[in-house]
Amino acid sequence: MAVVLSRAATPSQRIEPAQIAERIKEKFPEEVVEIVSFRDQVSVIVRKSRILGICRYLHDDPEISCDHLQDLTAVDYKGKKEPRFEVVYNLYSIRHRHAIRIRAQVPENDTSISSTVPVWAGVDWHERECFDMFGITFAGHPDLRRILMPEDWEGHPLRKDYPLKGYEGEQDWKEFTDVVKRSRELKDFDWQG
Amino acid sequence: MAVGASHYDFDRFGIIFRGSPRQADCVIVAGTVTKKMVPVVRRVFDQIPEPRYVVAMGSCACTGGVFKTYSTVQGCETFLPVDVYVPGCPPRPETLLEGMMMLQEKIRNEQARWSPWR
Repeated sequence: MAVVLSRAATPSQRIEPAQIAERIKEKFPEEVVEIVSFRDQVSVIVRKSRILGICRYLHDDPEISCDHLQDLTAVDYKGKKEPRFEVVYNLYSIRHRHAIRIRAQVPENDTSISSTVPVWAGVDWHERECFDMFGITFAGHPDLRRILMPEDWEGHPLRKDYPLKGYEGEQDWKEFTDVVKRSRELKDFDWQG
Repeated sequence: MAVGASHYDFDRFGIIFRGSPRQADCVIVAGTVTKKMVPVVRRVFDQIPEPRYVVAMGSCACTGGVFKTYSTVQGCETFLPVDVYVPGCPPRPETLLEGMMMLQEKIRNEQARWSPWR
C-alpha cells in the first residue's frame, strides 16, 4: 500500500532513458555490463544473477515506475557473441511515458534465469514462449510448459542451431508422421473413379 | 467469408455450410496447416461420411506457400486426398466459387459413387 500511495503522490515526470540507465548503474554497479544507446533507445546489458532485483527496482521506484512490460523475448547470438543468449525486457512507464530496455546475458551452459512473474504477472506467457522457442528456463515460474509447440516436441525452434526447415522424415514430430503414415495406408480405400 | 455472404452467395449453387463434419460432403481447408493441427484436421475429415471431398483453398493449404519452416505442413495433400486446389494468396471469392463448381462438375461426372436417385 505504501508503494501505491507514494506512486500516486509522484507527479508524471519523464526521465531520459540514458538517465534511467545511469540510475540502474548506480544502484547495481556490479550487475551492469554495458550501456548501449541507439537512436535514443537505451539498452542496459546486465548479468542475470540479480535480474529479479533490477526488475523490482524499476517497477517499484516511484520516479521510474516501469509498470508496463511491453515485451519479453530472447536473442540467440550463437557464433557472434559470448555469452550466447540475451533475454530482452522492453519496459515502459505508463505514468511517466518513458521506456528502457534491459538485456540479461544468459550463457549456453546454464540457461536458467530468475522469473519476473512476481513483478509483472502478465510476463507468465512471455516466459513460457521464451522457454518454448529458446529453451531458457525461468526459475520460479509458476507453470513453465511449452506454449506454442506440442508438449512432446523436441528441440527449441528459434535457436540458431535448429534447422530452419525442421527435422524431416523419421526425426519429425511423431504424431504428425503417424497421421501421414495412416493416411497413406487409408489411401487404398479412397474412391478411384 | 465473402463467398458465403450475399454478394457472391454459395447458397444459390446449392452449397450450404453445415455445423458438423458428420452432415457434410466436403471440407474446405482454408489456410495454413501446422503440424500441431494435423491430427485434428485428419480427425475432422475422418468424421465425414463417404462420399467425401476435400478442397484446398489458398497457397498455404495447397503447397505450404511461403512457409517452408519447421512447423508448417507442405500442402494438405500430405495427409488428405485433395480433389480441387484453389490457388491464390488469398483466393478471390470468384476463384473459390469456380473451384466449388469444378468440384460439382467432377461429382456430376462420377459413375456409381452416389446412388442413382440423388
